[in-house]
Amino acid sequence: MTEHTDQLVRHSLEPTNQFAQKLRHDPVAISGARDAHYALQTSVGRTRDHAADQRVTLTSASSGSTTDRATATSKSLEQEVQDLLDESAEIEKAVAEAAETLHVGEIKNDQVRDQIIKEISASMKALAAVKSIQPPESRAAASRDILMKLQTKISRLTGQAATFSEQTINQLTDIGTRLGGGEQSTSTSSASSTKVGSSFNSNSGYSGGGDSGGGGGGGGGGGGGAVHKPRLPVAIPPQPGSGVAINLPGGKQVMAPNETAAKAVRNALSQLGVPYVWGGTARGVGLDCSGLTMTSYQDAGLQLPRTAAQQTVGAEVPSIDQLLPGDLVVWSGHVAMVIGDGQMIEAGDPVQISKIRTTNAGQSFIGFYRPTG
Amino acid sequence: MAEFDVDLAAARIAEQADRVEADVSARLERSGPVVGKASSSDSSVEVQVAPGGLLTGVTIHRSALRHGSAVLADQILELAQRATRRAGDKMYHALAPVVDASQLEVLGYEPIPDDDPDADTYSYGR
Repeated sequence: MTEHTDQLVRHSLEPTNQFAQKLRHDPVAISGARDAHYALQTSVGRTRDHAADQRVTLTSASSGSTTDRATATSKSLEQEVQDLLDESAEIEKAVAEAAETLHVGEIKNDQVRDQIIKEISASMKALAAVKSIQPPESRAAASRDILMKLQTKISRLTGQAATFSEQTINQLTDIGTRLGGGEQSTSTSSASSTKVGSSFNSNSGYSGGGDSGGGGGGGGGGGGGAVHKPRLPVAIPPQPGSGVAINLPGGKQVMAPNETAAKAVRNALSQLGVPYVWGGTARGVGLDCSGLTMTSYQDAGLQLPRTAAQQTVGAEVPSIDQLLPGDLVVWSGHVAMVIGDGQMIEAGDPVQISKIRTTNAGQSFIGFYRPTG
Repeated sequence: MAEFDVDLAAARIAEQADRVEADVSARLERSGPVVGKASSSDSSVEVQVAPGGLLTGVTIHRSALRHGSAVLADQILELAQRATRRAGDKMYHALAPVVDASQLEVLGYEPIPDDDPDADTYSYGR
């Protein structure tokens, strides 16, 4: 009896245990990471304040074009630090959200496991009770009924656990994709970082600077080392100022269904090569997927909602072969704009042209939409 | 999260089941084996079943043969069903304190309401 129970319990709980392994994490590690992140944020914030103070001191203490340049550099540095802080806040939010999702997934899995244990326990008790029935021949049917019912219940519960587990992992993928952006999960900013001339830091000639020091490192001067390929805008063919024609980088000319769509596509093409920045809506500087489509349509005179999943507006395009330039391809956490000739433009890192597709790393495809109706 | 302990869960379940088994067998030892009985109004046919409906006894008096074989067959069938319900009722009352109601339902052990024509009027400790 005991041995059978043992085996039954083991086999029945196998799936939920596997799901639990999948969802397993160390809450202490996550909160540790969060705290460390927070500490880093605080210290970066202090650096920014300190830099601002020094800039003010510098401005008040001296004048002239060198000072102006130094002030400008400092301001731009402060802005970058601020951007870093903003980005850092996003990461922190995502980490918290991921931890929460995992936790919920775990609780749900545990609940299913508890339920399975309860069912097994109830069935085992019933089986034990049935043993006392006389004559022995009449027990078989009763035991079979109990076990068959138990089997049905366990398979239903295991199905539930599988669904919960899948949901959790999908949610985590979404969070990850949102943070990483598009397909590649790359670090964002990086491009357009302010270069600080070595002199600015080393000859601490300004008064009242206090403990400025720091820096002084290599001023990026030419000699040897790795080849650095600068990130520049991508050249695209000249476009007509009005009308529905669009000149694609491949040399083809395609026609949009209306002038707004045509403008939107031309606007989007002008952003080729712009780095991916999560939450970015700064054209020419940093964009995320929905930022690219939103601002491109905005400059064409049509306001779209901010996030990808909300950009399901206008008319739905029923099939892939009816797509026209300006149409949007929308996923649960990503969006791209059709430019014609079977291609679309999307803000990966950087903004780039790719073939029209309906799959996107772990996200569900929502549909094709024509914002201009 | 603490690691889930399958051994502990299995041991606990086995232990609970063992306790139920001991409890139920002690109860039934006191009351004697559970059977369901039913007899025709003139007591010419008596049927006895085990819980679940297995026929364990049929008594037919000579007087019951008067009505012909078809009537007798129907009577036995009807009495067997009634006896099964009664056995289920007894099992329900015997096991309800230690076994889940949903399990009793799976086994077909259901209480018979007092006003039901199948209600057992003589036995079961009242």
